Amino acid sequence: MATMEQRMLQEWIAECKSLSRAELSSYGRMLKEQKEITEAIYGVFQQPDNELRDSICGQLFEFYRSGDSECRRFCLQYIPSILYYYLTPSNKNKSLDRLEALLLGIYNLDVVEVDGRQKVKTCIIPTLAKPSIYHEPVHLSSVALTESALSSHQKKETQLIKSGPFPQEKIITAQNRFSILSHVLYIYNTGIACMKGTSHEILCKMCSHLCTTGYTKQSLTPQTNGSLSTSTLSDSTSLLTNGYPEYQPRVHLSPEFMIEMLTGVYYVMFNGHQKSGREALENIHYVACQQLLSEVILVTSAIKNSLSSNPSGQPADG
Amino acid sequence: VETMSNRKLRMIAEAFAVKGMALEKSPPKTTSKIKIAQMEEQIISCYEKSGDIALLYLQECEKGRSSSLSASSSSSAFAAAPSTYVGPLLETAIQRAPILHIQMGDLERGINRFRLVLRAVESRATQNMRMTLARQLAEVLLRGVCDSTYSPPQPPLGPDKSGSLSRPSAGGVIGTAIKVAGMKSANLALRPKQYIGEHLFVPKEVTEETLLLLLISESLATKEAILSRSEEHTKSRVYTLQNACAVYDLLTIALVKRAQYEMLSESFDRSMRFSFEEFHLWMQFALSLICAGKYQRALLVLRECHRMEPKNALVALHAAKLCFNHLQRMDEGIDWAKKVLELGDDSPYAHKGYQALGIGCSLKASEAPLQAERQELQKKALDAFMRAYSLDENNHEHLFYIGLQYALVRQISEAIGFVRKSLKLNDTHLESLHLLALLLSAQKKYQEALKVIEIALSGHPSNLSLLFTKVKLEEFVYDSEEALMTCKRMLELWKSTHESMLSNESSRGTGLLERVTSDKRSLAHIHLVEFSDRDSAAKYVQNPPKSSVHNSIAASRVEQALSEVASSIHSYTPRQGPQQAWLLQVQIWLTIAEIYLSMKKPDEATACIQEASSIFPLSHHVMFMRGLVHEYKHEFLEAKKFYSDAVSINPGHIKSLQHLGVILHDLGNSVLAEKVLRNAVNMDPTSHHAWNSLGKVLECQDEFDSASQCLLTAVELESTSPIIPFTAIPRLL
Repeated sequence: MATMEQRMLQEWIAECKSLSRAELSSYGRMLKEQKEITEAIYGVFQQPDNELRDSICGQLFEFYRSGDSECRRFCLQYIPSILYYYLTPSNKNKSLDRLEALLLGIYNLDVVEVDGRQKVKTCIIPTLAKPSIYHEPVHLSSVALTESALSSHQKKETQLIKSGPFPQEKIITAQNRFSILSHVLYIYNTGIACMKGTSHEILCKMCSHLCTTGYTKQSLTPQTNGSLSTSTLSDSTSLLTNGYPEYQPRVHLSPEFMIEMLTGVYYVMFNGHQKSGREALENIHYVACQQLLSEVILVTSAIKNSLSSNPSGQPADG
Repeated sequence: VETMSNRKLRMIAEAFAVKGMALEKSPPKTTSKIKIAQMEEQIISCYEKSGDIALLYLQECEKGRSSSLSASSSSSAFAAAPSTYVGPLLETAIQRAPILHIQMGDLERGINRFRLVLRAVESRATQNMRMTLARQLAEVLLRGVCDSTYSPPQPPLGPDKSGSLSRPSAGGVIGTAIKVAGMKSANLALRPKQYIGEHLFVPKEVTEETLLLLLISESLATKEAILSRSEEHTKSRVYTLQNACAVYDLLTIALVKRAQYEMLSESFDRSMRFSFEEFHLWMQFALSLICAGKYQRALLVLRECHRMEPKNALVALHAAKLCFNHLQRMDEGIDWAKKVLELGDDSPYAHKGYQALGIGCSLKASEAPLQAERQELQKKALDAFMRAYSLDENNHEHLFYIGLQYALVRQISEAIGFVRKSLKLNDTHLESLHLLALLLSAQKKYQEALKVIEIALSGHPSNLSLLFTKVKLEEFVYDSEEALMTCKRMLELWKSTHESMLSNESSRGTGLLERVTSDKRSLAHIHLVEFSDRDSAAKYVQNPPKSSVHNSIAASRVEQALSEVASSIHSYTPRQGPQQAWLLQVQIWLTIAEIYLSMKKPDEATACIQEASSIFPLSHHVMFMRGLVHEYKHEFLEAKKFYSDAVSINPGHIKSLQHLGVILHDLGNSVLAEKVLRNAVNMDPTSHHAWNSLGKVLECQDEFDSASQCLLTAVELESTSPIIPFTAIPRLL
């Protein structure tokens, strides 16, 4: 990276550091305008090594912690880049402490309420047995007298879906890694409509990348460009081993994480990133099939089917 | 008079619709952006007015018809029928407005327009359109909105100003029409009636609204679906099917996000009525059943899927997975695996097919009664894993299974080589780490094994299976006190992970768990094991929700049945909760009991067993531990009784068989002892304890040749025996 950008970022970090808590939140609105800084930070996460990475992580966490919605958004837009970097196997032996701290911090802040209680989100599963603003039960009563029709008649009470409480975590271990990452990606997805195109594009790239690394089928879905250092790295190592493909380790994703990936990709493919979105979808589908992850296959084949053969809208609109 | 006004309504509505269409078709005269925007605005407002009036018209028609129906004969209904037909003109007008909003980039207004139309009281003629509109709005909500940009629909105004739903006088209700952001306030008088009431469900969240819309759409779509398969209906049948399919796809996307598999499978269940020979829906149904944990039924559905698409490897693999992981049908699972392999090695799933075959053979080998058959199966398993590996070299699972298979036939150094390779590909793979630790313990490198366990635990701190192994190793490397410390940690872990379950049901046991975990002292000071069996704890531990207990599945059923009998006799409360979780607690108590016994504290051990038996009174593990305590106290008759009880519950429990043999021998019944022990070594030829005891019994019967052979075998086996059996590691697809 040009040293100029490096210097610009250094100055920016210094500037941010000098801000007080109160100033920080008003600073949030200005952040949106600073395109150069935004791009430069994306660049940092695309390089294998950048001395500013740690301090940027620290600064991003400061933004997130400030609680200001613009600041948070500014931080969250980098989630795909950060996850990309964090989960790439070749980055494993680098120091990821600050990165982990950032992810863990975002997670821990989100699982508790402001007053420190554990957060439980609830959501009602509507039932057709009760009238709503959109229907009257009489008109929709099922024709067939089936067991499920009867049971739905009985449970007139609406069901609740609870998510949480999630435990607060001190460190990221192999055991809890993906439940934390899924939650972070979930937070990203809840605000995905406010993110910019670059962030969306990187989300798709991240999904494709994580699902193709280490799979020989990689060649079928050509990497769009070599801008991301990891792919060039693997090329050079495979050259060194005289034609024998030195496999990159695969990234072992959890089903819940993959479903969050799909949620994001689904949104993105209908909002301007049709091609890379579809590519990501195919890659996720491939991995899910290889590992027989039934919950993920459910979603991928539903999306694929709705794209290929049905009267509903295509990615063009929305 | 009424019909007159109705006709007028229709005409006005159609006039607006035509105007809108005409404006849309005519090319823009200017290039000025403002002008174009104004033009679009005009088009939309035409459509909106037309739509509103059309809906009102349809509602009026419906009202007129129902009143005339009740008043006169059915002939008038016949006459009214044609007028309820909406017509393409009005239908376009109603559907076009929200879409135009969205195309212009005004998502919010588009959504609100959708809502407005959907909130109108439905009439018969609009049902079809409702289905489409509801689905479209759900689509928009799923694809264009996230939690932070979502604004919920307004609740309906209170009924104070409006008339009730059943008696809507045109003017009154319309006056209270809901003001929605972005709506022009003109033409208020010609608004359709809306659903009004105090107890209407108003969604507050994007998921709630999406689900509600999809449920409505689903219910209409299933009602609409044409079942007739005759030629003339083919076209409309396919059309309705595609509509329903679209709804189901959206429903899948929305429900999986919230992990509502139960509900999803019920929905697909309803779709089966019209999805004859529709592979996509059947397959989705099967997958949703798997996710909802209805494995038996999922297998049936998968069989049907296979009939439809015999060349689909995924179907066969899912079926094999069900057979091995959940249903304990090894033979059928192997058949499914072979079906995958029939597709040839070029198939992208061939390696998975070999893996499935290997797992099936390996599992079957563990149960095979005959030595020759067992060896055959084990060889087959290893070959299959090797083939899988050659097809997909970058897969740590294949390496792990080769390692495990070598371990099972006690080729320890080969096994270690493969496990290390597996860990190179995935250094956090839990099973590989566990296997490596067991392999090291088989080489008697207990210190190193313990180190590996520590590493594994740093990644998976709350894995009880690893902890069970750790306890065993600590007893060897350090002393019993260290092991008891770990046991206490396990109890605490159990408590914290199953706390929520505890609060839901009346707890079992005598509450010793609470007392022990709240006590600050070490277990060694408070005063209170073995768990190493082919069929014991580790398997339950690894996957509590999935029962991976293969060879004692019958036994655990018997136990469950017996426990229920016992519960009707005593005041013992039967538990509904996850059986596996309670079994785990039993295993922990029994482990502690065994440690106490080795510390020569039979009373504490008895207390632990008591606790375990208060949870599962008739578990063979409990019986066996009781036997051990009696044997320790030299109460041979009681010990014999408990051992034979354990064996009668689980005839495959090697430890009980072995101890029973020893006791019988001590009691002087050498012939029976020999028979029991031969039985034991037959069932598990890798148990050096059993061989050892058999050798001793034979020795006393002066059969020195066979005795020395047995003892030799025992020594040989002992040199490769891990601290707990390799079968403790689950073999799952």
